[in-house]
Amino acid sequence: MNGQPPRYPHRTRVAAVAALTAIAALAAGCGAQSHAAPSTVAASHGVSTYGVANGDLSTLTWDLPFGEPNTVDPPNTADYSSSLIAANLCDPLLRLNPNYSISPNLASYSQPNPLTLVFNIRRGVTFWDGSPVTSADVVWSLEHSASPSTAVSFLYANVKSITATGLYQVTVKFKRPDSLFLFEMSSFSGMIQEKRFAEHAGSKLGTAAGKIMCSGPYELTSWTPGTGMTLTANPHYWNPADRAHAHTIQIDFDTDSTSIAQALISGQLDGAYEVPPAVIPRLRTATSGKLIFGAPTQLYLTLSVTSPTGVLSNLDVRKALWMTINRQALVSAAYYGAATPNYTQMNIDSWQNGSWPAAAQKIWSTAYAGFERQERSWGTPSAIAAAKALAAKAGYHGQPIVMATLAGDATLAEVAGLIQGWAAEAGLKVQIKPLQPLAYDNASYSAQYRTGLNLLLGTTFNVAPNPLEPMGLTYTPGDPYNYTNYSNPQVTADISAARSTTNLVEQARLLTKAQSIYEPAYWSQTLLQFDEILFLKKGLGGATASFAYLNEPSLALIGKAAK
Amino acid sequence: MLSHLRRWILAPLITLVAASFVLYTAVWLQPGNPLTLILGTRASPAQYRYMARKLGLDRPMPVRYWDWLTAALHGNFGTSLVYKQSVASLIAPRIVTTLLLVAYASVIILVVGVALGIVGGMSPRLAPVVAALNGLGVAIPGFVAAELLTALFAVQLGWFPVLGSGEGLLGRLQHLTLPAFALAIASISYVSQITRAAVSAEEQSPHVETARGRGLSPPRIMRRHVLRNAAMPIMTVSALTVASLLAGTLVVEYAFGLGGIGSLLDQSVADKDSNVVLAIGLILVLVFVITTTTLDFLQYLLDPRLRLKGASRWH
Repeated sequence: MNGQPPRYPHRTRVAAVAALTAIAALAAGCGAQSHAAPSTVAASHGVSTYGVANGDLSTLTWDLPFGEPNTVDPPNTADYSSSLIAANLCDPLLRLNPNYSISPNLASYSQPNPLTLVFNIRRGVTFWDGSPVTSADVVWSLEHSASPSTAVSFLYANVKSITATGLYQVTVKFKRPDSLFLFEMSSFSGMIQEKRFAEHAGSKLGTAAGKIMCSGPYELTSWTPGTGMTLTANPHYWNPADRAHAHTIQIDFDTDSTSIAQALISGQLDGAYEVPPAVIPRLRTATSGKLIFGAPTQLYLTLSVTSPTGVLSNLDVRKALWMTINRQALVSAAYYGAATPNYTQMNIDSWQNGSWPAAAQKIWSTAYAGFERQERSWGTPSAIAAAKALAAKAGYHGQPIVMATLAGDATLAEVAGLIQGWAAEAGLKVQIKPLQPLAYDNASYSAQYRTGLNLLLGTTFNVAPNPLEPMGLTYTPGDPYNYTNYSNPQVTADISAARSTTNLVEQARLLTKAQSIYEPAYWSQTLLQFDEILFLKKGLGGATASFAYLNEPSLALIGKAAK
Repeated sequence: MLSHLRRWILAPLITLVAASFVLYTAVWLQPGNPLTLILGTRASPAQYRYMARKLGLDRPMPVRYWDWLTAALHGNFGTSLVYKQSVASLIAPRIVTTLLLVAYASVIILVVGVALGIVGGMSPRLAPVVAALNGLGVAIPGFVAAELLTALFAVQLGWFPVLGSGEGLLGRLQHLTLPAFALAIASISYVSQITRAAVSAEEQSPHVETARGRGLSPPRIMRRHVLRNAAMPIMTVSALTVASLLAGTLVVEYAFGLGGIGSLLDQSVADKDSNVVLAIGLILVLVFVITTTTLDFLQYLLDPRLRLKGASRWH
């Protein structure tokens, strides 16, 4: 499990970690070849791309429900807002496709040995100012990403050197094999900007005052703090497949869910990603456009025990608590159908996506089906009665179970209230403790901020569309998200072996084996897998609907739909 | 003279410094590490230490406050931790929006509020209607007013935009009309109520009765005897109401997607972006200090009774 970024705080910036979501291409050991074609269908649920862009627009007006970006410097894009903007301004070396497959982009690559990666930069690509993209820019950009002041520097831990080995060639050497690195290059940590401009901008790089110089389909032409941004199409963009369809994009920073809904209904806005779930009922009936629930995503709702001690250190008590939770009711009541019940710690889309071959997905789905069979009845009256008996038998006698949630997040508050109510039916006394945004984010990685808590409820995400990543951050000793000091030699060995293989079928086998051991400990549960909630005005098409929208120039792809 | 200086210059300055200290302490006493917003939750402890040192956050709070205060006295309000820009460059474009909104709302409050109050105070027949309108206005929270106004005038009728602050003077006025009314509604009722009470009290006062007895015309009585004497409480309440609008724009700014200083302050408090919080906080305090000091000064000048009292107190 990763950090717990608040997903729907209407008036707060999402935590910096959310930016890392966009590094969704870190599929451990996954091959660079595409495994499945993106599904492009004119439906509104579970699609990775919505409609087809057949024509150009003069202006696209788009809102960022998480508010104004704090920067557009790619390795520091620290929330949904800044990530989306950066992805439309700057080209990464590789491209993440809507179904999570990877393809060459600003560069192709070769791997002569496990410790060497060679990028061959596409010739003839220019920055917005007309200067060519060369190896000097690529080396500077990668070294910039690796510097300790960025949010993605930890991804470069295994890199030994980054060297220009030609005007259009860059060689990366590793201290030890790192099968993840290649996939990072389809994200912010692999986005290229002009060295000369960046050095001149200094500490103002990526800010409204300093701006940025990239080669992407849009140029950042104005940014008025507090008001909005204007992106203008790059007429010399090198890639026809990702070219800008709108001449200008007007970006708004409205964060209020009610006014976002009204602006979408009235047609003042052409669309938005990360639409707050609370306004789904209003938008469902809107005639101005279409509400789309996209997939796959790496966003999910998780409930984790925060300490190895306390009332939930008893296996039966914590199992009793999970047994009271009705996941389908959470989907309907709090997320209005924009989610799916999930029955393992690993979210379904972490293995059900285009980065996995069919044989590996089969292993995952078989393992998942077993857990689903066992837990599908949880939350029903009979399961709650059984939970009550189990907790009583374990000696539970009304000790408070303190569950932290994010203050100001109406959707999470609703989820917390439902969980509290169901637990009470089984005699479990859950107390809800809302934390302020920073304290809440800090609680996800620092034990100091978890003092006095028993549970942490929140929306979270995978950096990689691969269970190896969350599993490897949670279930081996010393992991940052191993709140309960979980330690099992077999699990540790399986995760370690999975990390060292590039064979995805073998990786799936090893990880499902580990899963079969740690799941019955019930330390943490992923309750729901979220859809990406997107609204698009009538007459528009070509929108990426999966969570990959954060990695690709998704706004450039939106154009007039075929009649 | 010295006491005047103390009252109108020294005391406001001390208020500002004290407010800055309280704000700074309050921001940093909040739980949470703001570096999370820069580094994310997966950065190593060494990275956190590096950034804390780089940004000077590893020094004790009083030292950081002193550094801030000395820089602020030289006109440098520092850099935003989150936006990495000078605080001035973040606030400048936003304060224009907020000031326009407040000015627009103030005009509405003063014109509508005072007019309603005069009507209510002068006409016993209309007084209950004005009182009922005032009660209704006070009872509608800003966010509800915002939603109702938007639903009717922006979504249904399409007369005004839902979001944004607009460009050019006319564009801005069009964009700010609904927000200004949403912001003004509760204050209109307040000013109207005070005006009604003041006018009503003056209407029944002996000097007005005398004026009536002397056969002066009603407009003249209203202008010279009622409004002139009722002006002091109306002016005081109106000035304080308008000053408090600045601090109350937050809800309306969010509801209409306006990037003003209210929403920036809210965000900066949540982010522990202390330099931004302090700068905006001090702007708000400054407006209050200037308003109250000016009122005090004006009352001192306009009301001879205060000057006499002042003479006995200060000299």
